[in-house]
Amino acid sequence: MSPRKLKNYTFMAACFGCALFGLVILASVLYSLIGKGLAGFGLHLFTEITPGPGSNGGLKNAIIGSLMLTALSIVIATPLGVLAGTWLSESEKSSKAAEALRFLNGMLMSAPSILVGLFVYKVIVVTTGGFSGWAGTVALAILALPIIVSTTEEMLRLVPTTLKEAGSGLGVSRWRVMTQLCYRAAGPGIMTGILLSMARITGETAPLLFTALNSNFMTTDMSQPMANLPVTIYQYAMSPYESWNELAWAGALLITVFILIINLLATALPRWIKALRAAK
Amino acid sequence: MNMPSATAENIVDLSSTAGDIAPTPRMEVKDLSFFYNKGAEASLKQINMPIYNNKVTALIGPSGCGKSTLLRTLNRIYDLYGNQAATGDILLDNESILRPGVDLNDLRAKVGMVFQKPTPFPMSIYDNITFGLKMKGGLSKTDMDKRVKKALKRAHLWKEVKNKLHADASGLSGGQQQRLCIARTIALQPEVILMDEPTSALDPIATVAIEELITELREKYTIVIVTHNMQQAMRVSDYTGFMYLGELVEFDKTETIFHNASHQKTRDYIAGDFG
Repeated sequence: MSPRKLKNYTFMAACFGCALFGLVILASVLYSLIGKGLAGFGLHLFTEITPGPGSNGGLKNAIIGSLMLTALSIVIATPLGVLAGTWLSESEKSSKAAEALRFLNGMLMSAPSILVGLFVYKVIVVTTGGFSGWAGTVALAILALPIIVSTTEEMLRLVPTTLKEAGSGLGVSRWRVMTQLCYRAAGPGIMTGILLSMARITGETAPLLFTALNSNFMTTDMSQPMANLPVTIYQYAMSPYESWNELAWAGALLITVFILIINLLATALPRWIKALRAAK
Repeated sequence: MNMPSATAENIVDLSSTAGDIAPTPRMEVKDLSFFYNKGAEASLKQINMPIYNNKVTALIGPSGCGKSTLLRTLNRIYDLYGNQAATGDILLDNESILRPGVDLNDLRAKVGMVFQKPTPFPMSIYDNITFGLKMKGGLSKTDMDKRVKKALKRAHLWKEVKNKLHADASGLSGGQQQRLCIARTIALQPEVILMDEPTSALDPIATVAIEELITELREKYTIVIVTHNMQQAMRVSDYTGFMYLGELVEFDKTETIFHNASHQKTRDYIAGDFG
């Protein structure tokens, strides 16, 4: 074998080995998650609320709480993030203000989520006098925000300048060029970003520990502590009770499946939108 | 400056050429200089040029000579970018379009633009045409329908798309897309149409269709076309300006430029000696 081919094969083998190593770890995590999660899976997860110590129950209140917290935080973060991203994409490349905002946004994106939780604890929980769903929503929104800001900016920068010039060249105002041309062209990408930010916050535990806390009751009152899956999993997994451990595994599987669905949706969405527009 | 440039005098000479009906200028470029960055070297240097009513004016010259830059000043599309600036003046119907306070949206509705690459908007064929029209307001659904049909007919696209007006415009071929962009521009009933190498991204058959269209549109509109294809300039234009290094070297009737140019540089370029 020639040295060139040998080098080629060695490198290929190394790449393959590393990929395999990563996949084996991922597969074993998934294997134990699915195995142990399925054991506690059943309709009762969705119909019964979290049980007292040692007794049986489901995760209804935690599922509904998590859905509410996630949905509301995305509702708050989306307009803020999309508008900030729009401003960044429209600002001159040399703009100092935009440069500063981009830098801070990058910091926020990599900030430990527990810091965000502590920040919201100080600002909202302490001042309002208690843990609440709203505090949890704000903490999750802060985590989702930088992802939406940066994907919006990137997607809008991908819109060809010729499209913007063509719009402006017809005498159409900058506002309408942005809202009706650029958002349309970048829309699927921006939506993917929003969904990915949703996937990111769905599993967040640390920021909720300090804000929404948890609850053993079925409540939709956002001004009260709120049940949610991540904190429930955290508490139940650490407990000595077997029924709680089983629920924790089932909850972990539930979150994983949910995130998987969001990720699949994020990949498929741009294609769907395109097909839908073409079919019209 | 080592390069002689067209002056106001030979513009007067042109319009008084014996045997021809003197054309009237629709636009006039006066002492125009252009800077891509404030303080940088001028990309256009003291350009003087008339744009005659209902005529096709071609701008030719080697890459980077400033022909597209000149075109982009005529509807002030450069204004989208903060640090670009023009000095001198450009008149449209004897009114300055460079003075402060000009309504740019209004100007661009009057001076339409077609780009090098077809740029259909991500929406239906019908919506592509009404997108600019909606800005004007006051058009009923039937008026809109009429304007769409008229514009598509004039752009020779109607027959091909009349049964799929509400289909996505990106499904059209390159040549069809470019005709759609022209239809979109003429639907606004502009006075002047600027075309920046409108056929350079198209195949020969689509090119012929666009060139025929330009020749026809001349009856109603004033057209300025940038092209690096000299045969095209010869085929479609009445007047030609030859540009080199940001200066307008020579401006004259297309015939004169191609067969009897007065500047050596123009003759060299047309003979294919450089560029």
